[in-house]
Amino acid sequence: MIKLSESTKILYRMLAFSWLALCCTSCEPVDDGYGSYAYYWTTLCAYKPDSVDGMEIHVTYQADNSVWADSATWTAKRNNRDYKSLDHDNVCLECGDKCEDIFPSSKGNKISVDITFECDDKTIALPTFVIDKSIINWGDDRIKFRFVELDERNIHGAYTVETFIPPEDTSCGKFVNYAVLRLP
Amino acid sequence: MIRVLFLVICLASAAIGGVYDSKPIPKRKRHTVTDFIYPYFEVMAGVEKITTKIKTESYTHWYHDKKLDEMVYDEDLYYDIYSFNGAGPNIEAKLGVQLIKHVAFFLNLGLAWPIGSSHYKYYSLDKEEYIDRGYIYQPFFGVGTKVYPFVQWLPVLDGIFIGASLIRTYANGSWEDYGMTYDNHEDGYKLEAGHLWNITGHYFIGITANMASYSCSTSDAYSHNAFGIGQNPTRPPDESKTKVYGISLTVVFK
Repeated sequence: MIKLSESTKILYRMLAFSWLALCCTSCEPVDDGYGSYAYYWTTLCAYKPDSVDGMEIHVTYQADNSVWADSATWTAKRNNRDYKSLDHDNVCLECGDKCEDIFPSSKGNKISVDITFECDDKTIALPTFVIDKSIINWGDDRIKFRFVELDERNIHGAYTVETFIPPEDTSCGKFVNYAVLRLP
Repeated sequence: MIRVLFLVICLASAAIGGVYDSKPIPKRKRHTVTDFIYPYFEVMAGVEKITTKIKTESYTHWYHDKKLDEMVYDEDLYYDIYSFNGAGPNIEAKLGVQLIKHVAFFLNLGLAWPIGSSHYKYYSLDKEEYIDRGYIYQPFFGVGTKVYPFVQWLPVLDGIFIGASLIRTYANGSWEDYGMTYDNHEDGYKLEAGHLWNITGHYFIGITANMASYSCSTSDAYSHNAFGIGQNPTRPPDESKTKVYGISLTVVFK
């Protein structure tokens, strides 16, 4: 058995505490602005086509029997959301703590997105886009989708095209390129 | 006795020969840098033919056919397609040094202004194409080397040379007017070969054939990677090449 002097013991303890302190700081999850509980956070943004006057996005979050909904509208006069993420005509809905509450313990998570356009006092609905297990690996990915008219020359950043959701009612326009883009 | 006499005659001959035939040993010349390095100056004026093609491969491969108003999936979809085809004059100056009359190192500085047509197309499936006709000005600079392999070896081939330069050339960036995000400079190399004839003293005149290849990339000015609406900067051009073929009258001082 090696006998250590009191001063050596103190030195070793200090080293051990320093190592623990450093480890704790380095093991801290990187704060990316979404907090450290980002697994079930969702960010959904819809971009208004130039040819429509207004737009609404309505999102229903469903976890087994728990249902929670949120919506945002864009009009030329006002935008009822404070959070406008970018410099364009868009509205964004974020689900943070609420989604963290309802999704982790649930087995049947589903998010439904309904978007409507307004033009000349008409309101047309786009097909409902459903985010479920077939699209998202729940719990591993932050859920980020963008709804926008696809013109690759005018969109920057990384994304994949999930699908197109043109409206059946074409009285405001066909919007065949209105796409659902999934962000990594 | 005869042997002694013969020895005396030999020694006397050697002494006399040594007196009259010996030459003073020349002093060893001290070489200076200027014995190996000479100033090198060259001016060229000529004509060139230039073709440029730049395009970016689509990532999504989805194209909005606005005439039919429907989405089309195309594996060979490209966008931001620019091309230029033209010909025109150019001038160039080279300033540097020449080593042991065989190799020259220099800085290039030049200007070309070919006349031709620039074609702009947003997507490869577009029917619509924009065409601008006129001059484009292309200043360029670089560093290069030129080798005269037969100097002081084969007099017949004395004036033959080959050369290579690394060049940065500036295009007019007119594609920005069409929302394309390519950089306004291109980098590449230039190869040349020719023959010089001595006119007088250090002056030579000759002819040079040259070939150059340049390429450009996406401008750093659009280097945002976060998702957003705006010009698409994230993907480099799939194809970017400028080919130049020219011939010039060359005057060299070396």
